[in-house]
Amino acid sequence: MSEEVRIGVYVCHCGKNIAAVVDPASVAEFASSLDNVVIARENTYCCAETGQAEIKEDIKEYNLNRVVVASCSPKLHEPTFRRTVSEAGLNPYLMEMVNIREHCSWVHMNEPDAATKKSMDLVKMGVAKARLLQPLSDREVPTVKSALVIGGGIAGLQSALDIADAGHQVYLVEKSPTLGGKVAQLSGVSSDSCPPECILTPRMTETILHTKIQVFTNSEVESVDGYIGNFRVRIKRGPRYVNEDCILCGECRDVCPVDVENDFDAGMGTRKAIYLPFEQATPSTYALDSDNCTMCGLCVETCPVNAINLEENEEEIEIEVGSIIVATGFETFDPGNDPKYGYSQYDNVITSLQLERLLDPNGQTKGKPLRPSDGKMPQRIAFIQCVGSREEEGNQYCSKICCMSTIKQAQLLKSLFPEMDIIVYFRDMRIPRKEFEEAYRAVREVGVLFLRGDVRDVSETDNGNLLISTYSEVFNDITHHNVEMIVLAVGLEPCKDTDTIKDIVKVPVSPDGFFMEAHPKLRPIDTVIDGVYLAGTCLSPKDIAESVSQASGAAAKVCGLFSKDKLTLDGIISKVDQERCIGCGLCIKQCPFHAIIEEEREEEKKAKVIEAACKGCGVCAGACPTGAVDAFSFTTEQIYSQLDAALEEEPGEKIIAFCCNWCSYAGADFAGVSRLQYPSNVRIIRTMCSGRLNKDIILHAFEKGAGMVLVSGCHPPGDCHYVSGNYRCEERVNALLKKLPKKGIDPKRLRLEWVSAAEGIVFQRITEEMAEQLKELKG
Amino acid sequence: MMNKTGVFLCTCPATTTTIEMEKIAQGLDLPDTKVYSHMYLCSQRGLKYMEKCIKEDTLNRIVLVACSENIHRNVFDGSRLLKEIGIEYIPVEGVLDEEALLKRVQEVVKGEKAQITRVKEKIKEVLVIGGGVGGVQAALDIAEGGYKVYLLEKTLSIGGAMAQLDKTFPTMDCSICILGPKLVDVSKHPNIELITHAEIKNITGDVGDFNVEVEIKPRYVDMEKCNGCSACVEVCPVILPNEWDLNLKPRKCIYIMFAQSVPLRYTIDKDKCIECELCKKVCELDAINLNEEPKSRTLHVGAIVVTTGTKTFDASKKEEYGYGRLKNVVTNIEFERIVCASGPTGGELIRTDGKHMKNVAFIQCVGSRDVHFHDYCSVYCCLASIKEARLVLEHDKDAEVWIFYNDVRACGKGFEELYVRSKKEGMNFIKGLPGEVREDPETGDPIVIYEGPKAGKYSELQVDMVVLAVALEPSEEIARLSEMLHLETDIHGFFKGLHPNSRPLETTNKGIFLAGTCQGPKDIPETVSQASGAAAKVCTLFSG
Repeated sequence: MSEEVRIGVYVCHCGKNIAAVVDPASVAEFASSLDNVVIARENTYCCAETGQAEIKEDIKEYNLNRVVVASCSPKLHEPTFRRTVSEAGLNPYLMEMVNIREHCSWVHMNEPDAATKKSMDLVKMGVAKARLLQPLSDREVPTVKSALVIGGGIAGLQSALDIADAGHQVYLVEKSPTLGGKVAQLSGVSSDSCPPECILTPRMTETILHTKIQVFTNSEVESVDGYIGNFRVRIKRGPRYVNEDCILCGECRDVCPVDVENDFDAGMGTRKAIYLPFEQATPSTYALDSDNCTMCGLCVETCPVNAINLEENEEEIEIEVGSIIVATGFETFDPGNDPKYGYSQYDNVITSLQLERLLDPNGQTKGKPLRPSDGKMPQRIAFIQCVGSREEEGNQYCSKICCMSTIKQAQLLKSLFPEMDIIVYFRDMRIPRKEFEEAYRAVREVGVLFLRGDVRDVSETDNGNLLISTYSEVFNDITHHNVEMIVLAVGLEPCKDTDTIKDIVKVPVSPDGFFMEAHPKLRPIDTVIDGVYLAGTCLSPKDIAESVSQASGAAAKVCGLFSKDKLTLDGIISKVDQERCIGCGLCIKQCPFHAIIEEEREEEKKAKVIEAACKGCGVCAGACPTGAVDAFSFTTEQIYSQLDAALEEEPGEKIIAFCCNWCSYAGADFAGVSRLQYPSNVRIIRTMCSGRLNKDIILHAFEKGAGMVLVSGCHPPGDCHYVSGNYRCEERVNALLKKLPKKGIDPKRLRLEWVSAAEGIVFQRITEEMAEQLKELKG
Repeated sequence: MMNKTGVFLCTCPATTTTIEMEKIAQGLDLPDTKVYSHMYLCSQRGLKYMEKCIKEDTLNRIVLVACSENIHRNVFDGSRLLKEIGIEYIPVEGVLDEEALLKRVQEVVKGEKAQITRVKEKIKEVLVIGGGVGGVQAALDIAEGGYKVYLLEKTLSIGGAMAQLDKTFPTMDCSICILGPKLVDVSKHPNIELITHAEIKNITGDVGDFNVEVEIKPRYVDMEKCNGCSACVEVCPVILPNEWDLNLKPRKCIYIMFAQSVPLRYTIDKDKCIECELCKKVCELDAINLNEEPKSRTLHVGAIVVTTGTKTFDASKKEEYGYGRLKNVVTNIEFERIVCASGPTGGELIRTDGKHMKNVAFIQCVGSRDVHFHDYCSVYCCLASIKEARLVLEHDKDAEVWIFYNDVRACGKGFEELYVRSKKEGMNFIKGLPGEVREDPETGDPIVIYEGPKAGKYSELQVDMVVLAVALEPSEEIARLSEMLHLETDIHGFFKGLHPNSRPLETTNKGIFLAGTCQGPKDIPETVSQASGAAAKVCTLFSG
């Protein structure tokens, strides 16, 4: 490129977010002194229409061919400013963002001078990289217009129906034998006089009959490969053993000799190993519980329509989809481990879910809340709120629905049994629905007693009756109440499979264990993985109305994606310089996506990148021993230039932090969003994956005098967005650590750490420790 | 061929709480008619049962008595056999006694088979009413789905209430920083036509074919010509209080609502204009037209998404807190502007008398959960106050804040965690709402009178400012639109979804959908999710 590099630098105030700490005027002035910088300006909001217009005008007026925007995280506004420069006719990849908000003003709030100095450094690094930016072009790939929905509860059903009704194929995978999820277990009348089955049943029936929906029950997603528009999904479809011919006569159940704890009734009573999960179970056939079946074959002999086949095997099915919706729902908290509530000791302490089952008019007790110990109707019932929610240890979050659920249950009990005494022990009554505030008042009017206080102990007295001891803040005293039955309003927890599914779909979870959305306010449905969306309680506790709204929302995202035949992927890919390639095949072996192949050229083996399959992680570039492979937008030369700029002054005082785009860079962003303060001598360099790095890059930092180097990526095993890039990084760093002493470098100066997108606090701790270590090393 | 009619009665608990189906069955002793009952006809099992009966008894006409047709019609149409025969649906919804229902069923059975209505060609364009964050999200998602959207906003700019906020909870993200780009996205989307400063005059038609009459008010500045350069503002001699910043900051007579306004076009406040025409002289683009008239326009759309949002409670009605009477009692929305970097004080916590605030009290449930005003909870306010209190502490480490509350309702992702952290960091939470706010006549400081810390004893707390967390209430727009759109409202005056739990986005009027706070108070993520959900409803409507 012989063209003269002409850079414009824009320093954003972000209102006071940046300007209250960093002095944008001096940063801009500093920027204008750098080579190739033609114009440097400050702006209150670069992202506003005027801010963008200014950049566009300057590009024309000053004939700029590179733009550096020093503002917030590129994860927020990189697309915005790429579009801005492209509207002015510049290639979008000729824009570089410098993060002086999340990585500077928000984390050095009490050191304005240091923050301003750091901003100058960061701008210098950005300008250095910008000089070397290359124009790239986006790739177009065809979209597979079918979707995978994981989970057949109310949210999954709603998403599936909306997508299918919009005309697209849907595969719905449910691990249990029937659709319906948790709503199926609810009973009685909710605040709106409509029983939950009336919400659920039509949706299940519509789903199973829909020509555009294929339902896999007893099935699990085994693996997901690929990317937005083109995911390859392997499904393990378990055997049902009972086919569609089943006429629901129940003769198999009558002969089955195996009794199993009834999971649908939340562990109360038993069912057989062959059973109908519930009246409206869909698909409408008996199910066989293979974990407990003895394969005695009695049911097979009895079945009048020969619908049972015990020989059936599981199948592996591979499908291609363009988009995935995760709707895996929740589990209720198990209070068995907390002796305070006596759930495992005393029969008459039950959970709110068990009460739902007792109140079901079709259930075992025909809608009467009979005591498990003796089958008597209790006259005095207590509810204890926040069991497994709002704890100091354990689940810190509020489960949102339990207050409303208790009010509903109390209302129902009072309407059926007006003489019953009901006490509710609560901390705050949390009712974020206008319909329920009315119900809250109504139950108080009919005599339900609400007591604010902390339950300290539950013990049994006589005849299965219970004594509750509560501390009341208002009276500063312990009070005691005798009751005949206790209902624990148990909280919600992420579904048990969350950990497995998170690794399969590569979506991170928040500190509370639920899946993490792309942005808590404005992207509550999206995830960091393009094409993967969230619906319902797998994201956070919510009620039915919120779950179905969100599920429809997820469907809208899928419909939007499928409205076009082709999808544009970014131009960040790897490239092989075949002149320098020695055909060693390391990159081919290490590429997580099989996106590099070997080809013969003049009788020599050479590596070649398949562009449509390349994800741009740069693991190949990290692997290449000759520097023949390079990763666009994160080239070795660009990274060196950032290092050189960062270490130009006082290199020994500085900590270079290499952060991967998805987890650790986002984790550092999260530290900023949470205003977690850390030492201002940290200089972050972003790469797409930690697997992009290698010994040469790290050694370059030390050669330039860096005091400390941090290499950070996504947690193994499953967090890496490029499958195994973090392992490649780990291998290389470990190998280098052994060699460092020979090179006269103290290995304590290099650290490898895993930081997830939610671990701002971890990033803060690590950088603090490293700053301490640096001080120590310098003696 | 002889008609053989099957009457199917659904005996699900949802219908049998009001109607005894047995009585209907007994009253249907008609020729060539057989009556069947099943507990859950809408389940797959129920459909199997219906199909079996049709085959075994060779039925060629089906009359179905079940709950809401709106909710269940699709289920029965899912069965090929039932769809072929065609179901005559008699909804039980709203029928209170057996006699009326029986009469209706007898009429239908005796009558001719109903004609199936023909489907009209749908217009695949959409009107979104209201340009707050909900309307913006709905418009973007529908536009991404490939359909043309008209986004109608009555004020000068889209952005809504969220544009006025400083930060958002629980992450303390800057509100306009995250909203701004979305507003820009709207203005750039090829499928979205933005119509601002406009009002709906009338709506006729029904699903697939609505006619909407719109009046576009004059801005006196040509939208096509103006490029937002602001040369006119500099010369305009008329200085007025800026409503956007609670009248604490000046603006000119020719102005934009706020810095990130979309569209970024100027408007003349004609009532205050002295017609000096200085702006006209200075405008190089010849964009000023002081004689502009209102324009009317008719939109033809197939679906409408209503996202008109809500309004805040007039705190002066709660007289004991002295809002409007005491200088240093403000609403939380006003406080958002005071604390905002782009607000009247540049983000400094200064009162109108110039005093720096150190001690701030927040009072919750002002107009909410109060039988004299609104008995419902306004959902957003607990976290909003915690957020604002944190901002006070961020501004000044030595500041002290108090939150007077009924219940702290921190139910949402990350909310409880923020509440607990704030409590640990020394934020004072006092259970119980104050009885009164007085003023120290010398300093102008508000004095909060409340019960505590001992029950039955009163205390006084002198602070620099009192912030009232005001309720959200239905806007006048809802009453006006509900009439035009034939939509139901609930007892509070908010729009009502088709079913509060199961179908919150649809309405009784097919083709009209709801999202956001026009249905009742909710926070930003729920509004955004709902807006995307409403977009999905539009996409499914148009693809069918």
